[in-house]
Amino acid sequence: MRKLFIFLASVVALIPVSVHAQAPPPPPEATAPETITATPTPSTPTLAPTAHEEHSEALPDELAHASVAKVFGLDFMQRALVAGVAVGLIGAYLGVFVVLRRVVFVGMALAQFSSAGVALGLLLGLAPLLGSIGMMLVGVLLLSLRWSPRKVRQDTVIGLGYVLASAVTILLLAKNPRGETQLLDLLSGNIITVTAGDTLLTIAALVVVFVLHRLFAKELLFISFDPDTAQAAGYNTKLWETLLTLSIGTAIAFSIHAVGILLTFGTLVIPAVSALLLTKRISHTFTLAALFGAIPIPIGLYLSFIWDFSPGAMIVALSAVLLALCGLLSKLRG
Amino acid sequence: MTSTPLITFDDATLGYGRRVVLPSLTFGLSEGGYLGIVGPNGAGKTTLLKAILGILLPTGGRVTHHRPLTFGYVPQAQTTDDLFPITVQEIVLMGRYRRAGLLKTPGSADKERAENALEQVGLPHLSPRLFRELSGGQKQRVLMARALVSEPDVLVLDEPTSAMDIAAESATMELIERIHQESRLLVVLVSHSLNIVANHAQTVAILGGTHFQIGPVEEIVQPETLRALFNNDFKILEIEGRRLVL
Repeated sequence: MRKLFIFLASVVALIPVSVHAQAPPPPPEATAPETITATPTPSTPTLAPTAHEEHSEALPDELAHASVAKVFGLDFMQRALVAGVAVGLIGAYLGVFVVLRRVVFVGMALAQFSSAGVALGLLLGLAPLLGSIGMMLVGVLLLSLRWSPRKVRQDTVIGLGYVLASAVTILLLAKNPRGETQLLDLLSGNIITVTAGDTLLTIAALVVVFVLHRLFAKELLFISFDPDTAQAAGYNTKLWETLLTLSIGTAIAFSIHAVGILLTFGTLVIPAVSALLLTKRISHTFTLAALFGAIPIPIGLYLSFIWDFSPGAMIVALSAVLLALCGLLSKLRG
Repeated sequence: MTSTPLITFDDATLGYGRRVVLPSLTFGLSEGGYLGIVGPNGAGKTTLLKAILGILLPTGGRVTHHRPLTFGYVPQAQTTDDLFPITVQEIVLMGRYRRAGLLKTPGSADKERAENALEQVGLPHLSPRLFRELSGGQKQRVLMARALVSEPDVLVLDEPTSAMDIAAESATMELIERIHQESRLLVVLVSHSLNIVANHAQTVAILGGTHFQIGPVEEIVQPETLRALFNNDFKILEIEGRRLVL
């Protein structure tokens, strides 16, 4: 648990980076309701775009008092809601495995591989998502290799993967004059700029991952809880572990593309910890984690809209509040 | 009654890559046998166990499973992760996963078998309890129930009494002996204690540094043999039919 809190702190530490490095999003495709007008955003890269920046011609008071119906009547907010809930539900479901298997940092390493893939895609003029998935696969392969456990521990391999992918990302970016802005936009992301196409693509990928997990739920649970016994029973644990890492990596790659690193990690870790604090049945843990992943999305989107905050950061902060409440409730229940 | 051979080691060398852990092992294990493997940490007990299970292939020679075998593996209870909120019944049902097959979940018949296995190890009332809330001895019995519910040909126990007090150790060993007698399984027990193995197993394999010796308990657990193996003096006492190695 202590390691988890260190990780959460490091995720929170990412916030200023993602806020200040954020490039402006493309103009929203939405046709706004009559009281709120959609306009193109400024072109200078400064802070992460908030909903107010998306609608800079509207009066601040008007935006601050917008009703829930009005806010979610906007096309771009609807897309953000749908993509966010999908990432929240399935990311939190997968997060139960990530937390229980104590491989939170595998997620970070795979995300960094995805970043390198985006950089490579931009340099070669390919779709960034393709590069992201390709490099994520390379990351899964590297992390699945049989290293000598006496000489190189698995956590060291994860650290090596993370730092190697970071270095590759920087090197690839150095030779791409236009890439940095796009890359930062894709990686730090902003849920309110997600396009309809990306939303559909993300949902499709996440549904495939979820269906795989439901089909092989008992095998994935067995190899996670007791790999030695599973292996003795005849399971190819290496293969199942690779499948598990691959499915989580795929979900991470698509989620980052749609909603950015901060929200992806937020949903991967915090709801699972919250659910584990309250549940005494593994099936309940998965269900509650998924709910805890989804609940902060609409609330966070609405609050970030009316208070003019970055939505990803607001949703993660709300998840952390939920975690604190779960911790309190867990203490009270003894 | 003749015993059917299940596993044969034929001049098998075990190791990892170029590192040899156990060279040139030749012995056989048969149905209804009871092998105790004894040795200090790092002597190669886990390596031998992996080879018996078929997880580790020999780097030389041959290890033969004479027919497809189902292994009921019982790990040390303290190696299980208490972070998982899993009930006793869910744990025992894991023993049915292979038989249920891919894309299928264990049904009511499997649940009945799980209940019977829990009854066999003396814990019929614990089915709905959280595994992590049990004592070390209870956890070990639950893991035994999981192994038994898989209807194994070979029951493999890795240090089942480590971190137990004397009473729990004695109860656990009696349970293993009862299961062995009732089901005629091949039992393979790994232990760091020669006293445990000397009083329960039929065959003993002693591992230590460069030496390996296997044979009937009556032959191996003798002062002369042990002196030759460990270059140390031993006394074997018999008190009320039980051996005590000093």
